[in-house]
This record gives sequence, structure tokens and C-alpha cells, in this order.
Amino acid sequence: MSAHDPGFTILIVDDDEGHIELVRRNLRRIALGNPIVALQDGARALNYIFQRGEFIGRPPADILMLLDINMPGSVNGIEVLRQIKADPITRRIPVIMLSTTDDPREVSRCYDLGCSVYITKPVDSGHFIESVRRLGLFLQVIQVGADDSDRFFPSNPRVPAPEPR
Amino acid sequence: MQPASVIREAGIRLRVRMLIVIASGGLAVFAAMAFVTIAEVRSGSAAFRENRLAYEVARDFANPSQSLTGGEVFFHSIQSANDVADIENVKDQLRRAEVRIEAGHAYYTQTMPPGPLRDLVTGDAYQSTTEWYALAEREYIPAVERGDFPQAQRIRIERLDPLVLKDTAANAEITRLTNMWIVSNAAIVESTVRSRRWQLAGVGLITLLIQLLLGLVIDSSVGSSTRRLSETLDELRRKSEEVEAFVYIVSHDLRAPLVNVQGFSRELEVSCASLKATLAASALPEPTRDTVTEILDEEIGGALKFISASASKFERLIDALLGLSRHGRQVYRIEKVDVAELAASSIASLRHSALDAGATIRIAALPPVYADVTALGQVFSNLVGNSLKYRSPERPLEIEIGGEAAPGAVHFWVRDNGLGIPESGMTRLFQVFQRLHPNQAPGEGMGLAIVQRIVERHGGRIFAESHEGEGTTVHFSLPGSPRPAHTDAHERNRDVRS
Repeated sequence: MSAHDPGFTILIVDDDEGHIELVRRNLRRIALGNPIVALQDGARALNYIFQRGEFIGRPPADILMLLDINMPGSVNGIEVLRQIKADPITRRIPVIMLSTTDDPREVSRCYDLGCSVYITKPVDSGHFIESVRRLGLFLQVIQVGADDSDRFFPSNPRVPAPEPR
Repeated sequence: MQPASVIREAGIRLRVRMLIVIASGGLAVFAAMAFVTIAEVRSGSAAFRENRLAYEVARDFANPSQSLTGGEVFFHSIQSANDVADIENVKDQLRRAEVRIEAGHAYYTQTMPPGPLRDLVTGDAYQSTTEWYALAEREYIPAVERGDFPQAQRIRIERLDPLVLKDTAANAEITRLTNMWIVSNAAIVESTVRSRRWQLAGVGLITLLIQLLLGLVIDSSVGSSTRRLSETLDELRRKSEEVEAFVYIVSHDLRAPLVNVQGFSRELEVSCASLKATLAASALPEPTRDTVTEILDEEIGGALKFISASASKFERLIDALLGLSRHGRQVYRIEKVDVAELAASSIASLRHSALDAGATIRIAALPPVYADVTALGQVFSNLVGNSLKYRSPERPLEIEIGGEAAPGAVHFWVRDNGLGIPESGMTRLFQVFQRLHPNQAPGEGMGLAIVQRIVERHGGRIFAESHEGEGTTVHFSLPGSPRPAHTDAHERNRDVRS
């Protein structure tokens, strides 16, 4: 880890600019100085993760993903999650689902697909901050301890899913 | 169980039942026809009737004691007669025999078909017999009575015996003809019965064909109406799924902007707080600082309070709508429920407010039902909760939970003596967001909508009666026998799909 290494990148994927702004502010408030990338649709988020399309040659980075579920277009949050978790390498990216609904079916579906945490908006709750901190910490720990081949993608720290209804 | 398959099953059951009815109807018709045919053969057929007659003739003329050949007995009884009384007795027997022969003659003249047999029976045989009796009565017996036995012997040998011979010959001929008659009649009867047998078989076949045709017609008509019914049901289910999806999406999408309203009002509050802190540390003159503080607290703060309150209210409404939509989706586990126990436990959480209200809650003996325990518990707690909320300040609140078994269902009610509902509100009572006493208690106006939803998903009905100022009774029915709540299966399917 170099002296300039800013740590993991926080990737926010949400179609609502206001929500992105609120997340930014919350992250700023807990003094997380990590670089933040905000994308407003699922297809671009996948491009970013898989380093393709407009993101070919993006510098490698550890990623903590904050993912909205309900997004317009063909690739919603569930689809993004599914594709990330289907890939043996990117499946280690911790994903915090941010949703406006606490619909139990949606919650259990996201956990089934392998999300780390499911959080209901608004996101100024202690739960959100705690989750970001904890998952960020995991990233740091794994980065220090892992060998080079495993460097970029830490194993997915699982937060126990709530009992689905 | 899928509603469509329930209907299909009912259709099949109906078809089977109708086929059974038709089959037993056909069988009954067949049996009736067979019975009629047999009766007809027995009484109606000429050959059968004649046969009976032939047997009578045969009996009368072939049996010696019934005919003149029995004359020997008669002579014997005269010769052995010891006194006048015995003679009188014989004469009496003789007269009775004559009467019998006259009656037989009349009977056969009337009933027998013309022909040689009838001529014999009513001619030679009759004449020789009657002559014999007349001779015996007029001449032979008087001779015996006089004691003129040679004369009697002469009468017997010369005149009576030839008559007996003649009669015997006639009788032999009658017997022969009668036997022939019986044989030919038997053949006729047999052929009649045989032809009837074919008729019966034909009738049976036709009945069967009619059954089959009717069965097919009914089957296809029941089948098509079943199909129509299940199509309608599918359509309804699609509609209700659409509504569910609509509610879900609306609630989902309405929340997104709401998150911004809530989030940024909080951001503004935070900004106001830091502005105030900055202000406190600044070197601004006192009046300016006061003015700015006032703007921050009163104007911006007041506005933010309204925004937050409205946003919260909005959120509660969306939650309520979502909650209602969830009540439509929840998978029920139907089991036998001890309702009195359930009612008591589901209103336990309301005990505190019941005590505060000074309310009396009476739970009668309630019949068991088949329902989802959680959902039914919510019905009781919502209804009793409403009674507690909308009680009248003028009298101590009394709530009664009652129920009685009705055919095929159990009817329950929750009755109170609370505020009651104005007539104008009755139609909106079960609609969402309807609050008829908005100032009486907090709420979203979802309670009765949810109750209605639960009851109707159980296949029950709900209605209320109320008089403003007197109280309200909410009535609802639930199935008294186990049967699947009709939306469960499709919900499970949908859950798998989604």
C-alpha cells in the first residue's frame, strides 16, 4: 500500500441524484475520505465493475458498492447484484443494497443473491454508517493480509441476513 | 389450491353426479317398463288368459271327483244309506252338484272361445251330466226310497250307465283337446314373452343411448361453463395481481422523492444548527444576531418542521398502503382456531388502553373456525382497537365479541356502545384512508380496510351496522369448515416467480 493509496473506492449506483448527494453528505460527515464514484444507471455500473465500455483501462481499485434497487432501464439493482455475484472474481465485492422499500421478498432476494447488507432509505441511520465502516475495515484488513493475486477483491464479508418472512 | 383447478374439480364432480342421476333415471325407466311388460303378459295377453281357462277346464273335467265319473261314489253312498236322513243328505249333495254344473256351464259358455272344445264342454259333456243328475233325482232315488231295488238296478244299468259312458268319452275328448289347447297357448305366451324380451332390450338400448347423449351434452355444457368460470377467475386474478403490482410500484416510486424531502430537510436542520453555532461564535452585533437566530429558529425551523411532519405523514400513508397490499399477498396457513382464546390473546395488548378507557370487554363462547391465526388475531385487535379509539365520552365503553355457527360458516360480531358512525360515512367505512372521526385518535384509516381484506381472503363477508351516538357493530363471517384460502396457491407461485 503506497502512501497515496486512498483506500477503497466507494461506488454509489443510484438513479436519484438527491439520494447520491445524501449518501455523499453522510459519508463526508463520518469523515470517510475515500474516493467516491457515483453512477446513475445499472449498465454503466456493470461497465465500471467489469472495466469495459467507457471504463476500459480504469485503474484497479478495491470497491465498496452502494447499490440502489429500483432503477429505470433494463439493468436494475437486482440485475447488477446478480451479475456481480455470478462472476467468481467480482463476487467478492461487498455490496450494500439501498432500497426505498423494506418489502420482505425483496430483502430476502437480495440476501439470496449475496448482498452484504440491505439498508432501507433514508440512509442517515447509524446502521448505514456502521455498515460502511465495517465493510471498509474488512477491505483494509484483507488488503494488508492478502497476497498479490488476491489483492483487489477481498472475500465478501457476510452480514447475517435477517430472518425472511 | 389453484382456483381454476378447484372449479375444474367441481365441474368434474358435477358431471359425475349428473351422469349418476341420468343412469339411475334410465335404470328406473327400464325397470318400470319391464314390470309393465310382465304385468301385461300376465293379465293382458289373450293367450295367457286362455291358458288359465284351459287349466280350469282341464281341472274340472280331468278330475274324477269333479265330474260324472264320480258317480260311483254317489251310488255307493246311496246304497250304503241306512235311513231317510242319509238319503236326504245324498239328495242335497246331488242338488248342489247340479247347481255347480249349471254355473260351470254358464261360465264356459261365456268365456270359452267357440270351437269343438266349447261345443263338447257345453254340449255332450253338459247334457250327459245334467241328464244323469235329473234321472238320478227323479227316478233312481225314488226307486231306492221305495225299496224297489230291481227297478233301481234296471234304471242304473239301462239308462244311467250309458250316460256315464257317454260322459267319460266326452271327458276324454275334452282332456285331449284341452291339452292341445294348453300346448298351443304355451307356445303363444312364450313367443309373446320372447318378443317382449326384444322390445325390452330395445328400450334398454335406447335408454342407454339417451343417457350417453345426455351425458355428453351435459358434460360439454358443464365443461364450457366451467371453462368460462375459470377464465373469469384467471382474469380476476390477473386484475388483482395488476392492482397489487400497481400498489407496490406506486409505494416504491413514491418513496424515492420522499427520501429526498426527508433527507434534505434533515440536512437543512443540520445546516441550521451549524449556522447557529457559527453565529454564536461570531462577532456580529446583538440585534443582528437576534434577528438571524429568529429567522433560523422560527421561520426556517418552523418551515422545516412542517416539511418533516408532512413527509412523515406521507411516509406513513405509503407504509399503510404497502401494508394493505402485503395483507393481500401474505400466504395463509389455515388451521382450526379456538376463536375465544385467540380473541382474548389478540386484545391482550389493548388491555392497558381498555383499562384507561374504563371499558368492559365481554367475549362470549365462540365457535371454532378455520383461519390463519395471525390474520384473524389482527381482525379482532383492529376491531376492538377501533371500539376503544372511538368510544363515547358520555358512557362507559362496553365491547362485546360474539359469534354463532351458521350453515357453512360462522358469524362473528364485535359490538360497542361508542360514538357510532354517521349514515353518510357507512359506504366509505371499509375504504382505505377513510377516517370518520379524524380528531378522536391518530391513525391512517387502514384498520377496517385491512380487516375487510383479511375476512374476504378467508372467503368470508363483512359489514357494519351503526347508529350515530349509540354504537357500532361489525359483523363478519368465516368458513366453518376447512378449505384453502383461495389466493394462497397463486401467491406461492408468484413468490417463486418474482
